[in-house]
This record gives sequence, structure tokens and C-alpha cells, in this order.
Amino acid sequence: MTRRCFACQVAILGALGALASGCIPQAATTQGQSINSLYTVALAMSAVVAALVWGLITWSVIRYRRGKRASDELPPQTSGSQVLEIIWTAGPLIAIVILFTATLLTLNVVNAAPQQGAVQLNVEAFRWGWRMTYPNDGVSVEGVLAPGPQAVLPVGREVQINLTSADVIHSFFVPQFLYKKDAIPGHPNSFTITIAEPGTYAGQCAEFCGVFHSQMPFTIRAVSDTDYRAWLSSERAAGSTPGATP
Amino acid sequence: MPEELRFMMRSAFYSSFVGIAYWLLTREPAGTVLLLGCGLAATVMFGALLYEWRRSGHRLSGPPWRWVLLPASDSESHTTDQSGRLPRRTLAPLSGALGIVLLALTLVFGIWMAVASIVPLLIGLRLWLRDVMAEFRAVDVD
Amino acid sequence: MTAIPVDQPLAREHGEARPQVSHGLADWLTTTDHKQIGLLYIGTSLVFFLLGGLAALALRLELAQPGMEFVTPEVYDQLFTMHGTIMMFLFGTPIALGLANYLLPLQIGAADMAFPRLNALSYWLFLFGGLVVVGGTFIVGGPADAGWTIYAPLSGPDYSPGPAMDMWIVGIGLTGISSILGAVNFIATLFTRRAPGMTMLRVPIFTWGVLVTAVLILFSFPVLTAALALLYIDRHLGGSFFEAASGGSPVLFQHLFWFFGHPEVYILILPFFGIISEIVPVFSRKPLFGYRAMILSLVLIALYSFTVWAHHMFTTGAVDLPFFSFVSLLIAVPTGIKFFNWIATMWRGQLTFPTPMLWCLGMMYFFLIGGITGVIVASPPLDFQFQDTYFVVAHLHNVLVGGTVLAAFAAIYFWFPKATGRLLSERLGKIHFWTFLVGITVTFLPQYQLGADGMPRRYADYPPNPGWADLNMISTVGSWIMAFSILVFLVNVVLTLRRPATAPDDPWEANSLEWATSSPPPDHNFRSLPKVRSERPVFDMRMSANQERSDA
Repeated sequence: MTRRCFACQVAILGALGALASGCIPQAATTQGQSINSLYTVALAMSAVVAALVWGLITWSVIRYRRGKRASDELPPQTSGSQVLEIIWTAGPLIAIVILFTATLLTLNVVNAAPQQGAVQLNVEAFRWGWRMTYPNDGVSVEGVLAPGPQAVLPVGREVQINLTSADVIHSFFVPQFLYKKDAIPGHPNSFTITIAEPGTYAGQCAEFCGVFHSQMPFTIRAVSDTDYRAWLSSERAAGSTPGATP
Repeated sequence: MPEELRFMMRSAFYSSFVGIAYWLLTREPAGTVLLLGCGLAATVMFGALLYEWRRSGHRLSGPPWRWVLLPASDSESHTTDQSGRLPRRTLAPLSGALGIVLLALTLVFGIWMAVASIVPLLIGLRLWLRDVMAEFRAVDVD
Repeated sequence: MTAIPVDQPLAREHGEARPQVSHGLADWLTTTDHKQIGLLYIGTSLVFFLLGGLAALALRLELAQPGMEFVTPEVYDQLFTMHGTIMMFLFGTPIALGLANYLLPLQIGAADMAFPRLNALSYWLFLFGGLVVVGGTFIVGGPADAGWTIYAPLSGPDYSPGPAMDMWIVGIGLTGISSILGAVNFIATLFTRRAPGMTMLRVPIFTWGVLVTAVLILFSFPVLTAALALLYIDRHLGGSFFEAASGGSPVLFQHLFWFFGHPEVYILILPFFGIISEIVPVFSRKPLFGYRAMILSLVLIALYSFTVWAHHMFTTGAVDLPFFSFVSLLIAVPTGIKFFNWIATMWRGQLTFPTPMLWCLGMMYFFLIGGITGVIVASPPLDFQFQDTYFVVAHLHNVLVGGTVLAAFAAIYFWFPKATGRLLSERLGKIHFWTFLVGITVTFLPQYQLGADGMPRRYADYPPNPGWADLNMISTVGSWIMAFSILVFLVNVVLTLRRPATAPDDPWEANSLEWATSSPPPDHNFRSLPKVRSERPVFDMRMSANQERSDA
């Protein structure tokens, strides 16, 4: 294998290695989908950087080994180059600016304020479960430990989730939405999602809150708007007493 | 101006500048206080060092931009004890540390820890002061 | 100013027995010699490393399969809390300070630190403070269990009552004070004790790394101390700084903690960047490429590290996302400058690969992934997925183990002959290196995927989601490979210390002043100092000696 071929192979491995940073789920929300695009951009840039840097290191290690029969003579004692410093400062700077711009564009989508008429869901986290209330409809679901409460939400409509905590800091995390937000006592938080696909999505607490931090899951079941309204009516009819729902 | 004064001055400028920029950009109080606090701390340390330096007879010279941007020249660096003496072996740091830790444990276990800390603290202080006074007497005070 | 000790025996004459490293116990307990204090720091931090490592092995054993097989959730929470606490405060910071303590006076041609007794006090405060922190293990209920980040209100009086949390606060407060005193000492020594001819721009790059680290400690640790004091007031004196119900703010705790916490992680890496910058030129037979650019990049990283703290708080909804995102992304630029300069140092050099160089190369390969994933989580929309998941756990171990630990081993192998007069075994060293590299790859790279899939961190147990058990098992097996590797290292150290101390002054043909004195150095470090005309005084000395020899 020639030196050149070996270095190429390492460069490709580098790109794959960068991809070892993992595949994230395909988002089930429209906001999440713009995060998917951003991640693709970030991964592509990472692969290029990794291949370049690992390639250069590997090349140096192979090409500039000191041979066994080497003389005592030192190599040229080059100690610096203004031009190179400028190049490898400007290059990464440009890459950073690109990533930052993409970040801002994505943030605008993810953090966009909801329109009028968004569905409201108030979520209160506590040790160790969730109390989810639909304030405009007088419906509430609550669950402690596993399997936790299940909140039903409509597909295709904006949903504003309002987070609080009754005790310590928790965090509302649904991996398939590519999103989490902290539930902090005394500091209410809100975010908006528009679920694009019907389905059941697992949620977890993502801020260490004590012994049963890993035992307070919840689920979001996304259904058509009609089914959602039907569910709301039946919940209201059954009396909005909290109880774990299947 | 010696290196340490320049360092404190630059730190004060940087922290204050960032603190002000941070406030203007984010209006977030906690971070602003912390950044400006660092700037204030560096300014106080600069002031104290400057006072000491002037008290031993030095004066600022040269254009101010040199103080901010360039390193100090050798002649500007000044230490009080040029004898190069090294302290001898002593139990004072160990004993003193033990005393400090026991004293701090008062916060966990109550007043009896403070009582336990008295002996090692005093031993540490005594040994340390004795060595320092002996060294002080052995050097010509300038 | 080289020191001439008074009240001490005259310097040993030529031909007398070599200076010893280890004297009696009384010697070690009363020392004010920076070399002994440095070795005490390094030795103690390695013992804590083993302790923190055992905690990690235990928690990885528990995580290998879903379900709680070995420990209860309470004990699990204590395990990860103590693992993080010990590694960050009782291993990472002290080993950096220990290496700095040993090397800084030697590298600048001084006889000792500016404040030798204060130096000793710093060490003993660290030791006793560290014992207080782990001492919580022996009280009723076990040690603290609120994570190494002890967020309020979880760490407050309502949710962590009892003395364990207070012992944590007191112990960490004391080690913090120890670090601050050390920082003052390093800065004072560097500014006032340099050898004649050693201007700031001829100071070795490791020492520059120590300087910026000391500055970070000086300005960040007091904020931690303040946060701990406020937390203590909340816990015991009726305060409500962090209690929302009484008008306080939990978010304030995070601001205070991370204003310290982010510089802390740079404290853990900057001296080690300096170590790589010292070792790579030696085994490339070339000077460090871009010495001034490297200094500038150290300074820039240090300056930026004070402005990025809230990237740990992106999901709190309480911080300005664009500001912190931009500055956090920006830190990649000076870090990249370092990588490119290391590569340029090797470029067109004559590379050899003794164990210290292997560690440096391993660091360059492995740390890069951590740097890249750091840039990824610096983007808030991406961080919304990754925050508080195993992606962050993978990233932080990638940079801390792949950066700090690999470079710490590089330093140990490189300077072991200087400190003890014996070279560590190359064969065992290579086994240690390769098994460790394999171990950390197998342990930490799968954790990126776990985090991307959404497995949160600090979870004692996890649901049987597809793939999670397998990835966790792989990660656990990796931890056993790492443990084996550390055993090899310990064997290497023990066997090497048994051999006679015959290492020459300068076994590696290195550059800085510590290689101009004997191995180990005598009591006041130097019998005579070579002239300092560049940042490579020993290289210059060797070149002019060669010149004289060839002229003769």
C-alpha cells in the first residue's frame, strides 16, 4: 500500500468517525425538521474538518518518520509562518460564521411565537411525575413514576406547552421532537411545537431531580384534530379528575 | 511598570469591557455583575500594587500605550526580598492546614470542631511566625 | 534571580552521591520544596483518580444492562456524584497544579516558588479538603448525591438535608481556596523569579499554559466559593438566594456555578495543551511552530472562557442564546490554531515515537472528536436534543480523558526520568498506551449514539429501548479495558522505581531549562544556569557544545 493510499483511507475513516457522533431521530415536529437540516450541515462540516486534520496528522506521522539510518543532522528549524497563521485562523472563522448563521436561522423557526388559537398545554413537573392540564378545556392528566401520564395532542396544529415545577428543576424531553426545555420552580418556560406525524412519542425527565429521576416518563399521543377534540370531550365528560391514563 | 501591574490593568480593562458589552447585548443581571465584579477586583488589585510600587520610590514613565500593550522590561520588575533565601523545612503548613480544615468543619459538625482546631492552628501560626520573624531580622530592611 | 540558600548546607560537590527524591516521612511532612510538593500533588491526585475510576467502574457495571442489578438508585446517584466530583476537583485540577508546581520553577530557572511555605499549605489544604469530600462516604447515609454540579434547589435544605452535602460544600470550598493560593504563587513566581535573559516571550510554552491557568483560577474559583457560601446560607442560616418560593432564583445558582464551571474545564485542559506543545517539538527535532501564535491562542481561550458559561444553560430559557452560541463557537478558532501549529511542528521534522510522543499523538486524534462535538453542542437548536444526554457525557469525557488524561500520561512518561532519575519501561508504556486508547474509544464513542437516541444522563436505569442495552454493554466493556490499562501503568511505575537511578540530565534531547540540571535536580535546582537567549535554552546549549566539539 503506498503512503498516499493509506492516508486517503485514514481520511475516509475520519469522515466516518465524525459521523459516529450519531444519527438523531427524524423529527416528528416541523420545528424539529429544521433542526434535522441544521444537524446535517453540522455533520458535513465536522466530517470535512476531521478528515482534514486526521489526514494531516497521519500524513506527517508516516512521511516524516526519522529513518533508522538517519544522520545526526537536524531538519530545517522552521519556526513559524505569518501566512499560515492567517490562513488557519480565517478558515475556521469562516466555518464558524456559517454554522452560526445556520444556527440563527434554525432558532428563528424553533423559537417562533405561536399564532392565536394555539392549543395550550400546561405541564407541571414534580418529584416524580407530571401533571398536564388543558386550561381552556378543563381537562387534566397526571401520572407518577412509570408509565406516567399520556397527553393527547392534535397533529398539524400549533401547541404551546407551558412548563413549571412544583419542587426542583426537571426537564421536559421528547427525543423524537428533538427538543427539551427545563421546568424550573419560579421561572415558567414555554415553547411551541407543531406535530407533523401521528404517533405515540416517549418523553423523559432530563434534569437530575433525585432518586427517581429515571423513573418519571410520560407519553404524547398525536392524533388527528377530530380525534383530539373527541378525546377532550370524553375526558371532560368523565370528570377532569387526574388519573393515570393508559 | 512591572509585569504584575500591567497584568492587573489589562484584566481590569478586559473584564469591564466585556461586562458592559454583555449588559448592552443581553440585559442579564447575574452575568453582568460577575463580569464587572472581576473588573472591579482587578482594578482594586492594580491600585494596591501601584500604591506599593510607588511607595518604594518608583514612578510611572513612558507613554500609557506601552503599559497596556508591551511586556515589562527587566529593570522594572521589583521584588522585596532579593536575597534568594529559601525557607527551611517546617511543620507549619501541615499543622496550619489541619487547623483550617477542622475550623471549617464547624460548619458541618458544630462548635466542637472549632475547639479541636485551636491546637493545630496555633502551632502552625507559631511556627510560621517564628520562621518569618527570624528571616525578617536576618535581612536588611530597605 | 537565582537563589542562594542561607542556613542550608552548601551545594553538593561534584562526585558526591546523586540527590535523592525520597527522603524520610518527616522530610515529606515538613517540606517546602516545590519538587516534593509537586510530587505530593501528583501522587495524591493519582490516588484520587483510582478512587474516581472505581466509582466509574461500579456505575458502568450497573448500566451494562437495564434493571437495577447491583446498586440501589440512591447509591447510584452517590456514585456518579462522587465520580464527577473526584475527577474534576481532586484529580484533574490538582494534577495540573502538581505538574506546574514541579516544572514551573525549573523551567524559568528559579530555585523555588515565590512563596514556598504557602505552596506547602496549598497542598495540605487540598489533601485534607479532599479527604473531607470523600469522607462523606463514611457518615450515615453516604456521600453527597446531587451531581458534581449540585444544582439548587436539589442541593438545598429541602431536598438534600443532612451533613453529606455540607461536607461536600466545606471540602470543595477548602480545595478551592487551596487552588487560589496556588494560583497566586504561580503568577508571582513567573512574574518575579525568571532567570536572567528570560523575557516573557522566551518563557517555555508549558509555563505560559500554567500562567493562563492560574489567571483562570484566580478569577473563577472565588465565584465558586461565593456560590457555596450562598448555598450554605440557604441550607442553614435561613437564606433564600436559590429558593423560588421566597423570591430567590435557581437559575442564579446556575449562573454562579457555570461562571466558575466553564473556566474550570479550561483550567483542566490549558496546562495540558502546554504539555503537548512541549513534547511534540522534542520528538520532531524542530522548534514549536508558531510559538507566539500558541501563546496568543492560550490567552484568547482563557479570555473567551469567561464569556461562554451559559452554554451549559441553553435549555433553561433564561439566557441569551445568540450571544453565548457565538462566543462558544468562536473558541474553536484558537483551539484549531493549536492543532494546526502542532501539525506544522511535525511537518518536515524527523519524528520518533517513544511513549511520550505516542500519548501526544493519541491526544491529537482523540481530542479532535471532542472538539468537534463541542462545536455541535454550541449551537442551541442542536443542544436542545443533546443537553443532559449521553451525547454531552461522551463529549466531556472525550475532551477530559482524551485531552487531560492522555496529556497527563504524556507528561508523566516525559518528566519521570527528570523527577526520579529513572526512565519508565518503553514496552509497558506502549502496552499501557494502546490498551488505554482502545479502552477510551470503546467506552466513549458509543455514548454519542446513546445521547443522539435520547438517553438522558444521570439515569440509574433506562428503558429497554432498541439498541440502548447493547451500546451500554459495549461502553461497560470499554471501561474494563481502561481499568486493565491503568493496572499496566501502575506495574510500570512500581517496577521502574525499583531500578537504580541512572537517567542522564537530558535523555530526550529536549529544549527547556529543567533539562540543564541533574535527574533528579539538587535541592535548589541549579548549580549553574545556561544563558537564556531564546525559548529553547538547552537546545542552544547543546548546539553550541556541538559547535565547540566540531571546531576543536
